[in-house]
Amino acid sequence: MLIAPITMNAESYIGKRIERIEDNKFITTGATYVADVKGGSELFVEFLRSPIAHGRIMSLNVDKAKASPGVEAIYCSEDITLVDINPPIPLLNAKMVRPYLARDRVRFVGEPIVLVVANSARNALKAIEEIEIEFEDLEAVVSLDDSFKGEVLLFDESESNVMFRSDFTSEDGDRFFDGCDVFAAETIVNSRVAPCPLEGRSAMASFDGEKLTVHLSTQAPHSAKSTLLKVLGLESENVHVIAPDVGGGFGAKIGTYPEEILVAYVAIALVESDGESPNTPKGLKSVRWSESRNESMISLGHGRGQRQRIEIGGTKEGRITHYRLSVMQDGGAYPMMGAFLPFFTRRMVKGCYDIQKVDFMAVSVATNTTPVVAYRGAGRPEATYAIERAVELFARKAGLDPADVRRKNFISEFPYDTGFGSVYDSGAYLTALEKVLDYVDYKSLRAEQRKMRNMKDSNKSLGIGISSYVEVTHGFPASEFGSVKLNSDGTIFATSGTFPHGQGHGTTFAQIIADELGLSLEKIEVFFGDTDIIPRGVGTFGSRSVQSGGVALSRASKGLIDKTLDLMKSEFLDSSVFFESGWFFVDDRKFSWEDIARLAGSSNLECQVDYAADSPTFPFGAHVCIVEVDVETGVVVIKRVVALDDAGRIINRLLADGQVFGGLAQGISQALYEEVIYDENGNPLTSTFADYGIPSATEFTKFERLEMETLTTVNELGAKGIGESGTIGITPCVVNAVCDALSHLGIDHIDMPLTPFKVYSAIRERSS
Amino acid sequence: MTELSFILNGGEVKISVDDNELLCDVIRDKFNLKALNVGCDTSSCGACTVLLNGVGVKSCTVLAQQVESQEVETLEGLSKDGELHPVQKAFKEKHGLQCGFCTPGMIMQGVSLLNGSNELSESEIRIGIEGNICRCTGYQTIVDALLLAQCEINK
Repeated sequence: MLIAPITMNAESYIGKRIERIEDNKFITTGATYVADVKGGSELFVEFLRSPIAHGRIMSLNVDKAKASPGVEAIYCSEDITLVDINPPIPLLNAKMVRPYLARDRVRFVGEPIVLVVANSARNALKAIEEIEIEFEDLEAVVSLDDSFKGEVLLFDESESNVMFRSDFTSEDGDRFFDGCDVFAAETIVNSRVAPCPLEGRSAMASFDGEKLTVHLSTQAPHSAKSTLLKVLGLESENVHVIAPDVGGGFGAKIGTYPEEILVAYVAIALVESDGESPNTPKGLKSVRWSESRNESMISLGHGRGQRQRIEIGGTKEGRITHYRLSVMQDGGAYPMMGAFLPFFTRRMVKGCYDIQKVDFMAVSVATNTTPVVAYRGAGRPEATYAIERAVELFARKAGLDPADVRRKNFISEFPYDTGFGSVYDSGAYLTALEKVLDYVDYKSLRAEQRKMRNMKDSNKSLGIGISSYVEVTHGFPASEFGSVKLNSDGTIFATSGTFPHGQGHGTTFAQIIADELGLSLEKIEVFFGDTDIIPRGVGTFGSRSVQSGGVALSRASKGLIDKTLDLMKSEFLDSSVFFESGWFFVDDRKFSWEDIARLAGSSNLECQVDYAADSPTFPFGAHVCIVEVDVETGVVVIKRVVALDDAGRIINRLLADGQVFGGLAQGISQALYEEVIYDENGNPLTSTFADYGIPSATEFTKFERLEMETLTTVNELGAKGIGESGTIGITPCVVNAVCDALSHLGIDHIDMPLTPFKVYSAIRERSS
Repeated sequence: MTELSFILNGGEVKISVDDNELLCDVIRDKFNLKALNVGCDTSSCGACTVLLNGVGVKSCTVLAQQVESQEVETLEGLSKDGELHPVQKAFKEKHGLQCGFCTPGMIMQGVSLLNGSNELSESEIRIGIEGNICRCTGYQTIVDALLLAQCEINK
């Protein structure tokens, strides 16, 4: 269905900076997260988790634990009657199957082995101390090379540790770069990071003998329901998933985890075995689990985790003609979304550049570490990091300014088919770059840099980093649900299958509906996160919500107007009836939505829409970062961050700022501070907020944001996604800046995070 | 068990607590004030920050019995007679929150800071909220909110 682009005027809510409607409770009584939801008579779940990375369980005795005070039930692997978990995507190694609780073998520190249910979390934890367990250590596979060699296999059933392969290479092999004047190459690491939503995973389930109700901290309540239906074998009407307020997700809460499914499983199992319990009365029991930060750091999925070989070649004038990216992805112990990240990396392999010959290949391997999942950007930041570092190295090798090299190679005609599974819809990469360079006065910055380098006795070196990026949002366009209903008092109740967990869709979507219906914002309520009230849905991830759920609600609003016009036409035969700016005109009379609500009486004025976009969209932008590096201590200080992120039509500028700023912080933080570290035996060394480089306000400077709106024609709103853009562009930008500051010392590359120790070591190595 | 009496959000309360019970748990579980959140287990995140005699403290690092006869204030007690505190208003105006998990602690820490001084610079504000982690905002809009609240208070 082709729909004309929306029209806007000075009165439109779309495009303004509007405070969030949903904030009032957050700033007065606080939000309601799963842990704040009151249950029935409450039971608490805790897990005994593996203290070793790889081993066999030789003996397990829970008798003493069963007798521990307050214990209701204990489950080991053999007590769980569910079918083991298959990889979430068919392209992943199907032989790598995961039991809900470790059976015989443990594969990462943090893997759940025993589930304890007790009348308090404290009693459950005390009981866990009474569990007797013995392991036989197996050699832990931690490095990617060891995993690929396959001398130690994680799964006896699989002949290798390979989870996923993707090969888009030409036959040229060694001769691929023949004829290039300039060639640069480097092996770089896109470090593993922890998503760290401030609210960890949390689930509460109850079962009344027929219906299962699950409160879940998730980004996708309807997907969670589908998973529960499939796994538990229940009928759709018997599963109710409610996502209350959710304290962040960043990709790590898209899928449903074994622990969460087990909470639901236990809620059912306890009711079915009711009557034997000494500790809790009969009746509705709520089984709940909220992970501790330590649990979250080792068993909520991690992000990134790629080692990349970048090779780039071209002419001495700066035209890039050849690029090869070889990826090795760390999937962690079990195949989850992480093993599939190279697929998304491949789609964005070329970045913003029109490169004639591109090769891509990737292998995902299993290691005895926490499984890797999607994390803000999921595969695309990795692609951007690779190409933006490569372009930088190419420029350096060619002796050209990195801005000039970008200018010479940008894609400028759209749509552009990359040949790697992406067709870029619209873009203006050169304009974006020129805007940020003008804004920071790039020429003067370079002059200042030269001046500083000529100053004797200065231990400070100025670095200027650039990155240009394009990314894909709503990568797999799936149908999204939206409904708009007229209440009896003339207000609007809308629902959406997307699920905000901080993004503010309640306000953004109300703006879209208000503009369409000609109503004021406060007349509109948008509701999310309840599978009994919202019949279908997908959720919020991959920067998809406005361009899927937002468009669905825009169309549902139009549909509501059409339905109302039909009603009016049948009421007022032979009259001219039309709608304009919030009013229905019938000959010389006019009716407001309130009038319509009265007229309609009990007839249901609601419009439901399932909208599937024809294709993804491709936001883009350019970032500049200015750093000062102390060459005596290795300390990097960020002086300025300037970001231009173009995501097509912006619905709410205030909230778009928020998304970009938050993304920039996470991207900068990966570049400078954050990294999940394991020792050679697979022990996590960053398992609390005290050891992990989670940044505070003092780690950042004030970000400067430039706006640009290049509309997409994929949807009538003209909107792309902006949830991940900040994270995607800024990480290579910061690393480019630091390496730029050290270029005169002959340092081409330092792997993230660029801690003072790493920077200092690189400088020392060069100068000795 | 210890019999405890203290001022919570302006009213005197009495309760018996275990010797090892933490203030955050008592406020959440016994008084059912759920605004404050527990976001870590190392006193790093500050999501549980409350005011103790007007000064921000992490309530996960305070034993309940330590607040005997003291004044404790949580987010729920901040608005007076339905009037929002300038910090609350500013958080809304400047989009100082996204997922909201850090917000109760962040607002109370902000109030504590502005109780201590009314001429804070941007960098002093950043240092002042260093013990409170926010994963969503990149802190920028929080800092903007506290600068705005300071302006409002000084008017």
